[in-house]
Amino acid sequence: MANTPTFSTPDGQTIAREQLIVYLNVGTYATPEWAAIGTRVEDSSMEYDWSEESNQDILGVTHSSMKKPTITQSFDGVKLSSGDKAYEKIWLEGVKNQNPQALCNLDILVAHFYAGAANAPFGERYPSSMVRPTSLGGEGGGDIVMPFDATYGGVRETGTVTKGNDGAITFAKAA
Amino acid sequence: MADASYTGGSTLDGGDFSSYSGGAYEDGGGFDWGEQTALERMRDFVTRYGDERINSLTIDYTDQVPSSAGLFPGGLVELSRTKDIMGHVSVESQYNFALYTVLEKSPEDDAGATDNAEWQMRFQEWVQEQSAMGLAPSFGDEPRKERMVAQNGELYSADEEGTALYVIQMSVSFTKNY
Repeated sequence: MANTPTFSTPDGQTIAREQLIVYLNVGTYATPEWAAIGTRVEDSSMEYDWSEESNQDILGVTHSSMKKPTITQSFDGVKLSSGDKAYEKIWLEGVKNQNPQALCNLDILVAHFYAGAANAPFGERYPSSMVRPTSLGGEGGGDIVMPFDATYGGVRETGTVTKGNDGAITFAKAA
Repeated sequence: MADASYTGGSTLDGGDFSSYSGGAYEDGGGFDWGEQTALERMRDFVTRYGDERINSLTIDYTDQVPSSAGLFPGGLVELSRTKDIMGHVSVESQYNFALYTVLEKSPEDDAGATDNAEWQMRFQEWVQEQSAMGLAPSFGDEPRKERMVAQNGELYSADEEGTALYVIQMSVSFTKNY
């Protein structure tokens, strides 16, 4: 696939936030089942840490460097709700099992529905991502809230994402 | 306001306080409101209060005879609209109503006025209790968060013929998810 996918949305129009969706694999690596993350979350962004560094030599010339980004994302305002498979899996491994190994090897897919071909938008898979619930609770009379942070990791795969008529997500790794 | 000459209002079936036989309590203390419209739910809810002094409840109309009441819908107000990062829209709205009741009250009849005022106060407390206990009807997709209030009950007008018109402001806030 092309290295620089172009946007598939109409020219001159801004792109709706829901065109960028993060999915958690609640199945297996070989037979993934992708569940969207973000129900009831009103604001969340992927943060890119490039480990940038700039130095100036004795001649006054500035030299800059950076590494491939470490991507983190915080999901605040996550309200637990039955039937949300992504939240249930994070709760299972984080709250019930307290399994750090499982939490460090979660399979995450980032779908950029606005980029690439309209029928095969760009996707990137991070098979060993870390998800960390940061708290669990809430105010009286309210909802149980479980905000969590995600750090996308593992050997990154890029490819295309397709969404079936039943809403099922399929990721195809680029050759 | 209640206008005895107004004839455009509807009188839905089941408005008789004494004949109410609504749904049954179900899981979680909720009431089975079936597929009723919002107005029907509100009307049935008010009817549930039950009081021998109120014989009928009409919509947008009140007979100018003692023991009649009218429920006047005041429209819907959208309080907030939010969208999550997946595109789901959540809208919080509020329905407003005014409940007019015509009760007996002769001029300078302190005992009658006291009874009527206490009826108003009891009704408002009952609505508060029903809402707090989750027994009020649900209007949206998140019943647990809904809130119904009845407030500012007061004498609206009184005549020389022995009747008085009282009004209670009611509202219900609810959330719908799209």
